[in-house]
Amino acid sequence: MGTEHLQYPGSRLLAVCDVDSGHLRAALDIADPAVQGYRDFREVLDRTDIDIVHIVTPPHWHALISVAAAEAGKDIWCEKPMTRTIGEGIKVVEAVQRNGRIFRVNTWFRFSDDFYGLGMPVKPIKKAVAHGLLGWPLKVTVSGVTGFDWKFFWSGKTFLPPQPVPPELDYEFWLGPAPFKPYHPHRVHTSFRGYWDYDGGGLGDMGMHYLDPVQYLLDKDGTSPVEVEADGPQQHPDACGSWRRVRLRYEDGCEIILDGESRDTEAAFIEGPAGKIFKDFCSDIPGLREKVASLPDPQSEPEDFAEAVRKRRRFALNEENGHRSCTLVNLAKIAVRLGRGLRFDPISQRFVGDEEANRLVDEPMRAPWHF
Amino acid sequence: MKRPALGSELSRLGQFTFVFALLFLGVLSVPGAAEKALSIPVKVSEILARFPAQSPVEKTSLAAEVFGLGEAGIMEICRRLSPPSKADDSLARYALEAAGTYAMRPGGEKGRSLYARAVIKALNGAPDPDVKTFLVGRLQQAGGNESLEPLSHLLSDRRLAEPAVQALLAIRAPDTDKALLKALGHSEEPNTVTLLTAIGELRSREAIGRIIPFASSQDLNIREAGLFALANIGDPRTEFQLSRIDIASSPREKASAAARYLLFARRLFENGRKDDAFRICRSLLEKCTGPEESQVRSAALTLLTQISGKDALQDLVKAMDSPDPAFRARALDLSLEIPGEDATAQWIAKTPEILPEAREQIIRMLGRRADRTALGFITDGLKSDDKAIRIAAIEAAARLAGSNIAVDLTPLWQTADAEDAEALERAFLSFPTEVAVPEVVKAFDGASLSAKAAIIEILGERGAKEHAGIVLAAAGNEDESIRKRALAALKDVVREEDLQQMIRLLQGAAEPSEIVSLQNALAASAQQIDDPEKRADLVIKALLETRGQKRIDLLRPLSRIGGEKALPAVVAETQSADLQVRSVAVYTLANWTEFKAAEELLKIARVEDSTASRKFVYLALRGYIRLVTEFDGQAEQKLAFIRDALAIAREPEEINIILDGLGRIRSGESLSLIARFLENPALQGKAAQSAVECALPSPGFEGLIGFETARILKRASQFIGAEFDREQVEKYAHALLIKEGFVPLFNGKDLIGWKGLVKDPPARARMTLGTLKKEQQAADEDMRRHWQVIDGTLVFDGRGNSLCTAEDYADFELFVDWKIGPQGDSGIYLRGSPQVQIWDPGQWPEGSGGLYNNKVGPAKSLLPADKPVGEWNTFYLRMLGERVTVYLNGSLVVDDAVMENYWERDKPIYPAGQIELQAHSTPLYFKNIYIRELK
Repeated sequence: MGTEHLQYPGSRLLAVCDVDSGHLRAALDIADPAVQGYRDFREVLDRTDIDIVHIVTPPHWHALISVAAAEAGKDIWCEKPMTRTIGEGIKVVEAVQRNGRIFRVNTWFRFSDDFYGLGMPVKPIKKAVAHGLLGWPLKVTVSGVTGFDWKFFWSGKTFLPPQPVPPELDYEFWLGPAPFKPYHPHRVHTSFRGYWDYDGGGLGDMGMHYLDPVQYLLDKDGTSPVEVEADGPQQHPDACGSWRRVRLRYEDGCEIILDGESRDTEAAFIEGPAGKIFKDFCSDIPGLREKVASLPDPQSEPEDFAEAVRKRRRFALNEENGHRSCTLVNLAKIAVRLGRGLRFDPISQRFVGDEEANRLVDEPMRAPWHF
Repeated sequence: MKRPALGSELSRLGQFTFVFALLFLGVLSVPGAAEKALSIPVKVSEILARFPAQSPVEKTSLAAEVFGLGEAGIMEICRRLSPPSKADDSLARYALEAAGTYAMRPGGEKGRSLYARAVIKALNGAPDPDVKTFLVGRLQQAGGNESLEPLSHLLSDRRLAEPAVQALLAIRAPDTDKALLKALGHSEEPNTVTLLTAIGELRSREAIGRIIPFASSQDLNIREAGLFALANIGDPRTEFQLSRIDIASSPREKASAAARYLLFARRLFENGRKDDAFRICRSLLEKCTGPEESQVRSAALTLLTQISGKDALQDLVKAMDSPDPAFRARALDLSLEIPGEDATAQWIAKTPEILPEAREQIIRMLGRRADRTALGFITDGLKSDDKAIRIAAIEAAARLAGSNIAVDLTPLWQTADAEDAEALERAFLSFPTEVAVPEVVKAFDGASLSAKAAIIEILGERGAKEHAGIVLAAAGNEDESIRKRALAALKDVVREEDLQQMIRLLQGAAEPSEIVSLQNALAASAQQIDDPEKRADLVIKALLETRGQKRIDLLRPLSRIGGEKALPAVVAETQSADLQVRSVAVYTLANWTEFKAAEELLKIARVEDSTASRKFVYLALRGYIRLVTEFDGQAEQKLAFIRDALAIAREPEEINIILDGLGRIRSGESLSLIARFLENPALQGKAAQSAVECALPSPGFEGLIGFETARILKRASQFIGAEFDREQVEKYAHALLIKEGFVPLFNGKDLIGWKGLVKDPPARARMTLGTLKKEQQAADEDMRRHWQVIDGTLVFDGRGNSLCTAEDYADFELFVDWKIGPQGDSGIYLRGSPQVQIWDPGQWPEGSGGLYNNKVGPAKSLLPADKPVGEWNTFYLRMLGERVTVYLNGSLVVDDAVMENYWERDKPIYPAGQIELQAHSTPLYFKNIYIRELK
């Protein structure tokens, strides 16, 4: 959690919750004196004066707290990646919708800001794609060449001799639904992303930021790829490491390439049979910039969370399309871990004919935690 | 302190290890079958050393090799597992994970059951709970029905029940529920919650009777687990337990009890008891009316709609009477599943009798339903006095009818307030330009102020140059919001012929944001002139006629307009007597896009070098370096340009700019220039960054190679703070060393290539071959007790003997990284002789690296170059004949000095011998040891 998490336009901060009393104290020190501190998120959910919760925990907690918050009648602002597994994502979608809640994932590049190193926002590309200027099917390359860093420094250590749990940390609660493993400081706080039990390395950290806009561009908000394959060094069962390449393919032939070693030095960010778009809106289509300017905008969806909550309107990046973008991340994680090509059914959201992969779709939780 | 004391200690240890080794050999040499039993462990060691696999193909082939060793091989790998407090067993973990994935490949069932059997046997034999947990995890990965029984045995174990249950839930073998029920004792058992929850997950009907008592336990966790299990199983006999939602103590608990009751209802419905499920939904809808129960009502309505399908429409429409907006929103979301004109009519019919907010929601919903019969009702909303309804109607109409509705929206511009205008703007922007632009232009004159501002934005967004006149006129409007938006839109609509007017407007503007907008528009207009050399003409003319601030405003856009004439005009301004004009002129020049400005910038930097303020030097150098690095030329050419800048740069921030530039020129010469700054404490961090950028592969660049590159990168890596980045640089540098003929002495995984220390060279020479062999075996045993490989590092525990290379070396170059603690003491023996010194620079200020045992020649290092204790140091050693050169952390500390013979003072150093990492009773760390023999 960072200091920016203490300020929200259109709402007032009432409570903060952390299983590390040191972190909790640090937050309370800079928050309004009226703000209350908690160790157990369920006590926050008990408060009837709280409308919205922001889930800023490591990803292995996202789904559990989201579902509990939805059942407690709270609206939800959830950090990326939305959920650690595909199965957890399905549960969040159901719970949020069933209970009539407003949900947003905290990434925004589909509707605002320059899209990382691409040097331009997503909207003009969306217009070009939607009006067929590039043709169909499309191939998107997310790599250093097109402006995206896969952050392999989020790697775990393969040897963690147990160390005493610091008194300020409730490690049991921190682990929550994750399997018990002896404490080592590298598992928690600023380095947890390097472990499969809690996240998924750079894929977990950046995947939704990078891939949600791609899903939007390809018009795949309601579906998932049918194939995924990965190349890279073997992954440790506990610690995430680097990988070289992941390829996701949709039923209609659209492809997403995650190029971890920036191998395709000539890669366009997005290309179809009729044209390509590179960084900084460079393209092989003459006059693309002007052509795109004259095209109609895509339908706009609510981009102001406080307003969406007040008006009970579904946020632009919500539980449903958020789950589908997070599924891209989770598919890539599983392919990288298994190292074999996989087929996926976007309707049942299970792998076809691969039991090991399906065991990673729904990973059992440690009691007493369950949905 | 040094050698003599160690000598006696050494022989004492030698005797001890000798005795121990005899005993050990005695045990091993008894059975004749030992050789056969040893062959699997040896093979396993050999396979493990090749993990982790570097690709999926290699992972498969290594795993296939593991399977080639059969059950015994897999069990042997399992035996190599260790609790994390004891040793680094990551290779075994990699291997078992790979084997599990291989076993689970589609069509690999035979191998899978072999794998599972081996893991189960190992599980039964493993003493440590952490190791057992890892093995249970392998069954979670690859176990099948055969795992049910062995996992069931763990269900009463406090520590292992949880992983075992997780594995069982992943495997889902038949009768898993029976095994769990058998383990479920009474509520005092530590694993009750785990077992109850799992039984619930499995929806075991047979379990009902056993669960019911737990559902009323005094223990909250047990009670909730029991109730969850009952709900998820969904047996009608347990409705009594689940229906009592009012006894909850807090709103959240009540809501979660209701959620459980609804889960129960959902399961009833799935089990064919539609009426019961429906009744529960109804009762909750009637009962849960409080303001804190919105989500319960929504969830009940959701299930009710799932049960009733289209027949739920009445309930959904009725939900519009609720004062709860979230509940209404849920009903409207659900209604999207019920299509048809009849439904549309019912929704419209409902609207007169409900709250305006509910009507607004219905309008939005109708906009998302593909039924055009709603359009009449929606367009009625356009005329509503209620603004929220009007805006909802604008959005819904545009969504449902597209640009066909433009004509109906156009009249709204006349009276639109800011929010109406915003909604209209979004609507028109979603229409094709050929509809949107003519319609808004038609409306412009009669439009409200807010509407005018919005229309101007639309013209800008669409680049409607043919209507530039409207925007230009608005740029002079008294109303600030209109003027601001018009100025911002100008850059998108101005034409070549508007340039004169842009200059005029810019000269009249005073407000900073307006000036910036106009400078953008002026540049956009000038850039449209066909002849690049004519683009700047009008601006230069105006510039020469203007003074003061206005002159500055005209100066800045020139860097974007460019051209032969523009450059001298700006250069002339860099001589201005007005300091502010001069400053902006240098700034403008520094942002120039054409390379020809570089020469001028260098001149400025040279001239200003003599003046007091270095601000202009900095600005000029920044622009110069940018242009040079963007310049389309050879590396040598660019470097020549950069050397000119280097002659001027003095301050760290100036050199930083140059280092940035050098990083982008990928050549060995560039890297050498950078390397110079690695020894400057104020610049070494930046220099390291630049060295990495210069030398490492990046998109389109394969990376620099060669010994020099490796040496510089190894030095640079010492100034890279982020561990991961540092490791990448080291990895690359070491790969280069190998390409240059270096060989790793340490493989980062085990002690292959090393041996224990037997006495000293003269003593060894006196031994018979048989004695030496025996002593060596004892020394090797001792070595394995005190030297370990942890996480790619050789770690000495401070209690044993020196570590020696298995081979002898004559002339060579050697890289070795080392680390000591406070009072740490060690050294590198060359040709079996002491030593290149390593010790705590806090105690010995002369520092490490000296030839400590020299009596005649120099024995001390030339200068202290140690890192503080606890940090890694790098030695580069070269031994040629009797002479030794040592670099410590990039500094020369021994310069081609003769190394004397410690063992036999009257003789020169031996011609060849083993290299030793000296043990001296303190913990030590070594890694990255690379040697190249010189022949």
